[in-house]
Amino acid sequence: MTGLTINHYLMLSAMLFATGVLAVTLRRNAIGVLIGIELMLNAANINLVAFSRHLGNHVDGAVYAIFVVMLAAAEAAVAIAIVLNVFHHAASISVDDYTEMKN
Amino acid sequence: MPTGVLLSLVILAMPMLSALVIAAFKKQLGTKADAVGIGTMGVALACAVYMALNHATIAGTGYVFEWFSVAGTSWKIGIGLDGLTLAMLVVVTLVSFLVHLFSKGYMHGDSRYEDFYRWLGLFTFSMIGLVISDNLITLFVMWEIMGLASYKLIGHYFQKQSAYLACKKAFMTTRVGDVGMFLAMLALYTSTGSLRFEEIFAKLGDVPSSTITWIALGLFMGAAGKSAQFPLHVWLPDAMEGPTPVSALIHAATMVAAGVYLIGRMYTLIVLSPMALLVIAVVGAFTAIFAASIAFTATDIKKVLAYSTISQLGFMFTALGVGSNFAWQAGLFHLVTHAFFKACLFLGSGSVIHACHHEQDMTRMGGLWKKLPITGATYLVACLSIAGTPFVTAGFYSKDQILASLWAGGHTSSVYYGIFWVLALTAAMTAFYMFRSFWLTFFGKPRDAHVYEHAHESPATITIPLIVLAALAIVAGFGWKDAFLPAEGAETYVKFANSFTHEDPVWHHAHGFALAVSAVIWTLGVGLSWFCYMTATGATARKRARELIAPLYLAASAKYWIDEFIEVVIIRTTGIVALLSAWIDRDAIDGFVDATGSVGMKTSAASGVADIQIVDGAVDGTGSLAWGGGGILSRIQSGKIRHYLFGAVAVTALFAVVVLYMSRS
Repeated sequence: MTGLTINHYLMLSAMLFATGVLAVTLRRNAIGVLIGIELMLNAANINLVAFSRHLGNHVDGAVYAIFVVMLAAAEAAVAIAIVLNVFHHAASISVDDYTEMKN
Repeated sequence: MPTGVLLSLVILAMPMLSALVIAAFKKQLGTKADAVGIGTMGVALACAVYMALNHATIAGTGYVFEWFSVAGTSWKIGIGLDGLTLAMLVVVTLVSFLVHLFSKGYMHGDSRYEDFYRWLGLFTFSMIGLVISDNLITLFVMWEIMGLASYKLIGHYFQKQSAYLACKKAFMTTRVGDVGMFLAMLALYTSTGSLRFEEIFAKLGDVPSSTITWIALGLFMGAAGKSAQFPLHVWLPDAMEGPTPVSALIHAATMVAAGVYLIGRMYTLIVLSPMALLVIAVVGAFTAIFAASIAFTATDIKKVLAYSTISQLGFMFTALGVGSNFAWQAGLFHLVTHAFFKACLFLGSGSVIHACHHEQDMTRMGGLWKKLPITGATYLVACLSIAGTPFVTAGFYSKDQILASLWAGGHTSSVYYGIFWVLALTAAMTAFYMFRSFWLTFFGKPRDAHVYEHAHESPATITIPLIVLAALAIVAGFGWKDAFLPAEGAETYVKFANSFTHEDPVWHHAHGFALAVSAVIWTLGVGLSWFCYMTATGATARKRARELIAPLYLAASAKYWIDEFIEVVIIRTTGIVALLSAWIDRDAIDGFVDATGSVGMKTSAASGVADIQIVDGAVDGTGSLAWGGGGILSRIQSGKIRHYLFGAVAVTALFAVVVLYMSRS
């Protein structure tokens, strides 16, 4: 257990965040984009919990992480509703078809 | 508001009402328009007579109100009633009423019957407004309305070329005089600051005498135009183109009376300038004898009367040119008596013309006495009056007083003795040519059987006015003049150069002398005309005399070529000046203007190029730079969310790298 330091957690978090960024920027599927956002939020959660433990066994970081999870749930509910409406509007799930902000 | 003012407003409103009602309900009224005209004038006449009977309380009243006020100057107008106004009101309403009545018979069947009555109403309105005005502004307005109404009435038969030329001539000639009058009004306002008679007269002491002379001459110019004095008399004979009732109205009560009235009204000013008085007297006397000599040769019955009017107006002006109180009274008294006998003569000639089916040439009449007894008798009475038959006629009293005042005026300036003899000669000529027209029309053998056969006495609407006027031509001479126009009491509203009393030896002597001369010249004039036209020896003597003075006779019958002179010298010269002015305008002034214009155009063309190339270039350049830049930048706005996000992440990452790199050192 001693081999597991803060750096491991930060590495995991960074990889998870990078995966999320790539998912958000590269995936065409709107649901995929939302999943990418969730990944980024959870990468941040891992950082919060890891630093909380590392800086002296407080619960502050864990409490923040719980807030973030709640926020992610609320955000997902709203975002899914938006995606559903956009799908009805554009008859497509691909974010590349939502080009009404062009020019 | 005093009773007199209210009544005068009623009198003023009546003819206007008639004109408006006839204009508004022309279709509905038809030939009933005459009833409107006669009825309203009857009311006006009744009011005027009431005012005249109560002149003692009414004379001297007036009413003034502020018309408008501009730039701190208050313009007041109003009504002023004095003896002169009351006398004029009676004459104007009476003659106008009789003319309205006369026209019912005379104009019967005319295609523009209603229009005729309409303009008669306006004509009368303007004259009434003129005599009740207490200021020059409304007087001048009425003066001009009268010009318009006379234009319409003289041109009543405008289908005839001579009629429309005549009405144009009357309008234009009087306009020439109006220029002088208007300048005089401007000068009066500049020097006294008011155009109300009272205020003008109160301030005359401060006005330099040369200015007064110019003002007086300007006013006389206006009066000469309206009252047909030489050389502005040319319109009046031509105005005979109008229907005969109009001629009667113009010659008796309105138009020509206006000029004499103006001088009589402004007398307080006129007498301050001996120079102006002399000009008025000389022009009047010259006009009197000049017009009388033309009347000798006229064969048109209306032309004889027209020239006699000019001549009689000359008498009035001559009297007004003396400056004494009796002369003022005589001039205006003659205006009144002349109104009656001249209206009677004109309406009488109208009756003759009506009876002879619009034949106006006396050489084709003759012997009409039996056919037209009433017309003939009234014409004779009026002839006796204008010829100045001693003691029984009104014309005698007024003309005698004119001569007497001239003789009395000779005491101050001997020029008036000369003028006296000129007028005495003219009076004899008047008696001669008036009776000439009487003999030619009513006596002798009928010279045209056709005209004679068809002649018939006119209806009552024509003969009643004749009888009334003939009666007035006799009785108007007795008594009343001192009530209305008192020679010795008029100083309350008129000032004179010198005054006499009835007992004055100078006046007494002049009066006796003039009386004797009048009697002699009357006998001479009437007797000579009887001899020349009613006896066989006289006729041959007349023919020989005519051959003897053939050139003079020719000149007189050609009206001394005054019309031709005006045509050639004034109208042609004006035409040439106009052509010259037109040439200067077109070729010289227009050339300069055009050159200026083309320089402007060239300059603006150059400026236009600079504008398009440089200024617009800069503006357009800015615009197209923004446009092009926007086009390039808009490409990166693809609308694809992924691109935006990628951009955001990339920039954030770059920022993070930079911050980390900076924080290391």
